[in-house]
Formats: sequence, structure tokens, C-alpha cells
Amino acid sequence: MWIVSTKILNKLRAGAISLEVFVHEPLRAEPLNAYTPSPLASKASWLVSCYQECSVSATLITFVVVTAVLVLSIVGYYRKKDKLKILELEQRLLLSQMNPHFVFNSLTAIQSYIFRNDPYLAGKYLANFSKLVRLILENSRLQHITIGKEKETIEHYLDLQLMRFDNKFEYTIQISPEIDLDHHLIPPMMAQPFIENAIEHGIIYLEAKGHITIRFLLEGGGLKLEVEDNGVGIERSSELGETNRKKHQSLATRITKDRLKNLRLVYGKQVRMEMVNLSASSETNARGTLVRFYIPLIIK
Amino acid sequence: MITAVIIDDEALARESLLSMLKLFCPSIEVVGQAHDVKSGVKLINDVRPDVAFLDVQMPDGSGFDLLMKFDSISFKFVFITAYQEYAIKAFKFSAIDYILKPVDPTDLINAIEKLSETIREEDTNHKFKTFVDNIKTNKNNPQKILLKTLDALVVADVNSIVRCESQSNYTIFYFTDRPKIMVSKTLKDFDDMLSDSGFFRVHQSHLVNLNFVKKYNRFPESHVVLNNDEHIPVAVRKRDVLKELLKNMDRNRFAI
Repeated sequence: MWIVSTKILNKLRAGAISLEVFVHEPLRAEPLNAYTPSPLASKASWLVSCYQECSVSATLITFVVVTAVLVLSIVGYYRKKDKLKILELEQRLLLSQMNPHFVFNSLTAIQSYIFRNDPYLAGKYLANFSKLVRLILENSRLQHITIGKEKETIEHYLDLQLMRFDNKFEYTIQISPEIDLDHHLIPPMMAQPFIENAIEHGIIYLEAKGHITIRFLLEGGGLKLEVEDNGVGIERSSELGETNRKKHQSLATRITKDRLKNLRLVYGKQVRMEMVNLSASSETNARGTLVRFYIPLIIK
Repeated sequence: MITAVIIDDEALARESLLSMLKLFCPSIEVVGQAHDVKSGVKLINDVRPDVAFLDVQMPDGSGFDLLMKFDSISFKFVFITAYQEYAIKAFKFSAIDYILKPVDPTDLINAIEKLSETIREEDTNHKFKTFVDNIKTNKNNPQKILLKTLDALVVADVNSIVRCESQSNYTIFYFTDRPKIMVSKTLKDFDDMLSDSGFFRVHQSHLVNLNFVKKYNRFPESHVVLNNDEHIPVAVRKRDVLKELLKNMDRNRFAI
């Protein structure tokens, strides 16, 4: 047993423990009254204690170094892991927005203008497509983009979908006048998977013309983002035997969940999403789906 | 004249194919179009076309669902798909023709040329049945493969193929449960198809099912010994990858 401080000695109960005491000369600032070593014994024990002291400090140093290395490597590991996680989320986000079906079907639609010999429309939609791809490539690397840029991206996306689906729907983007398009920020393309669902799982089943409304609103100091459609609704579209498209859809939902989770870590509980089945609400005759995001308003 | 129908939910995709057929395939006359499975089945029954161009994914079902509505498929069909990984794999294993969107004019011309080959209705149904089996059992890992010999179509279990050997533009298949056959495709074609199903090209002329490899010997010349004690040569630059694959397989065997 090694005791460095005399304070600990004072706390021990009498008679309970037998003590062996070695005294280290240079440390004898507070001499021990109970034990006065003879000069010879003092010399011998000094040698012993010096040896042991050395091994103690060596152990201590080793311990400290090992702990430091361990702590640093653990911190490094988690940092790297976090970085990888963010990178992975970015990649998945990019993937979810570059839905292969959307990409290849849009290109096929553009091809139709080429072979139909309509160079104006072929050129227009090709440029439209590249603008969208460019924005998605830029945006998916950023945590936040301006609402102006978000609006532009959504417009390009919807214009291409309008081309693909032969103007089967119309869309409106409403932005509350208090919102500053160049200085208010939003995580990029939160709404996109839900706009895609609205078109490909709601509106294509409609006989009549579809409507999609996207709203950027301010509420309680935060941003409220809404996507509303008048499509057939969630339940009906799954009734219509939609198995083929589920895979991509679930990917988008998962990514949205992960993104919301990350946002919640930073901004707390005010971040959330809700989905309302408008066909189910009895008060109105509305049908369709309403998706609502509550996101903190970030100002550049 | 070959009569054709186009069944695709997107108007512009139909439009695009129609224009291309007019431009590049004058022997085809498009006699009707439909936008989903239901109207497609009706159209085919009404006009009885020689060939149907089918989109894979439509709102009320797939092009496969459409074919399944027929007891016997008396027309030829070509799938046109934007993206459907599992379907493409299953197409390949079932020797079903498909074209990717947007359509490459060369692919379209080749597909149309193939249409002039006479195919027995029985064979078409055979192919389609293999395809349906494949997507029903394991979408991402087809279990059955359709092999065309000079005079027959053979449906084989992927697991029953021991090895393939190249012979100029043909490939000889060796099985566990039937005599060898000669198939009119190159070894490279099968290498591409089967490499995800546990096959490895050990040599320019040899593709082996790793499940049947008993051991790897380095001397006198690199070769693998199969369960049936055949010796198959291993190319020098394939050695390292092969050893790695066999090691991984052993680990998996232990895991089971």
C-alpha cells in the first residue's frame, strides 16, 4: 500500500491496519512523528523509495499518455464517424433527388421533341433539365440555401414534371411577403420527395386536372412549409396496387426522417413534420394530401 | 408490314417511340397505343398486333402484369424501361428483349431486326414463365436461367451449373444433373450475368461456380479442383482475387 499524503493517514482508524512506511527524503516537508528513521535505515529506504517513486511516476506518465491517446483517438473516431455520416446523408439526399425514374423519363420526353422535330422545345427542356441538375448538385452539399434558390429549384423540377405529364396539373408557389428570398434560409429540397409523391402517386390517378400548392409561411418565428395536392390521397394510391414505386418512396421518407432528426439535434423540438389526409377530413369537400414542415427560420 | 402497339403511361414516351419507329424502322406500323395495363390488354385483344412495346412501370401495374393477363402470349414483345434494376437482371436471365429509355436508335433497330426471327409461341411462353419465376422467387438474384442452344430452349437452375467453357462464339455449359449443352452466346455474356451469382472467370476460357470448387492448387500450374475432380486452369492474374473469394466463401460456410 502506498500513501502519498499524510491526510489519508490521519483518516485511518487506530489499530485497524498495519502500516509499512517508507520515507522519501526530499519529500520530508512534514516529518512523521511516529517514525524517526535511523540514518542507516533512512539511507536504505531512500534507495528503495526512490526506485519505487520512479516506477510510480513512470506508471503515472504511461497511464496519462495512454489515456490521452485513447481519448484523442475516440474523439477522432467519432468526429470521423460524424463526418462520414454527414457525407453519407448528403449522398443519399442526392440520390433521392436524382430519382432515376424521373431522370430517364424526363430525358425520354426531351428525346420526343427531338424526333418530333421541335428543336425549340427540345432545347428549352434540355436547358431546364440541366439547370435542375446543376441546382441539385450544388444544393445537396449545403446545409441551407436561400428560399429564393429553393423556389427556383422547385420551379425547374415542376416544369419538367409538367412536360412529362402533359400539363396534367398546375402548380402555385406562395411565399409570404415577410419572407426575404435572398436572406432567409431553408434546408434544401425538404419538400421535393413530397411534391414527387403528390404528382406520381396522387395526381396521375385523377381524371380532372391536378393542383399542387407549395407555401412558404412564417409562423411563430419559424418557417412553415406546406405541400398540398388534390390527388387521390395516400390510402387510395396504395389501394391501386403501387408496389413498384415503393422502394424509392421509402428511401425518400427515410432520408427526410434522418434530416429532421439532425435538424432537431441542432434546433430542438420545434422541428417537425405532419401529414394530413384531406380526404378524411369531413368538414370540407377537399381531397388529397397536405404535408407540413415546421423548420426554424435561419437568416443569413 | 409488322403491326405494333405501344403501351406506356407517359404520352411523350409513346410519342418518342412512335417518331423513332417512323424514322428508323419503316417495316413497323403502329396500329394502336394505350396508357395502362387495363387499356393495354383490351387494345391487344382488339387489334391482335405482331408485337407489343411495353413500359415496365405504369400506374395500374407493370408490363409483366399485362402479359400475365394472357393465357398464352401469341405476340412478340419488347420491354422498354427507364430504370428497374431487378427487372433488367431478370430480363437477361430469361433472355427477354428490353430497351432502355431514352431509346438508343441502334438498340431499337437491333430489336426490330430480331423480331423477324421466327419464334414459336411455345418458346415465348417458356421465356416469360422463366421470367415470372425469377421475379417471384428472388427479384435481385434470379434462380433460373434460360439458355438457347441451336435447336432448343433450356431452363436451368443457376445452382446446377458447375462451370462454363468458351468455344469461340459459343459457350459449353456443364451441369450437376444433366448432360452438357452448347449455347449460342459468348462466355463474356455469361460472365457478366453470373458473376453476382457466385461464378468466377478463372481463365479466359473458363467460368466456374465457386460453390463447386474443392481446392486451389498452385503447382505444377495454377488450377482449381472441382467437386467432380476436374482440374480447371487458373490464369496468373486471377489468382489473388480467386484466393480472396475462396477465403470469403469459407468464412461464410463457417457462418452457416
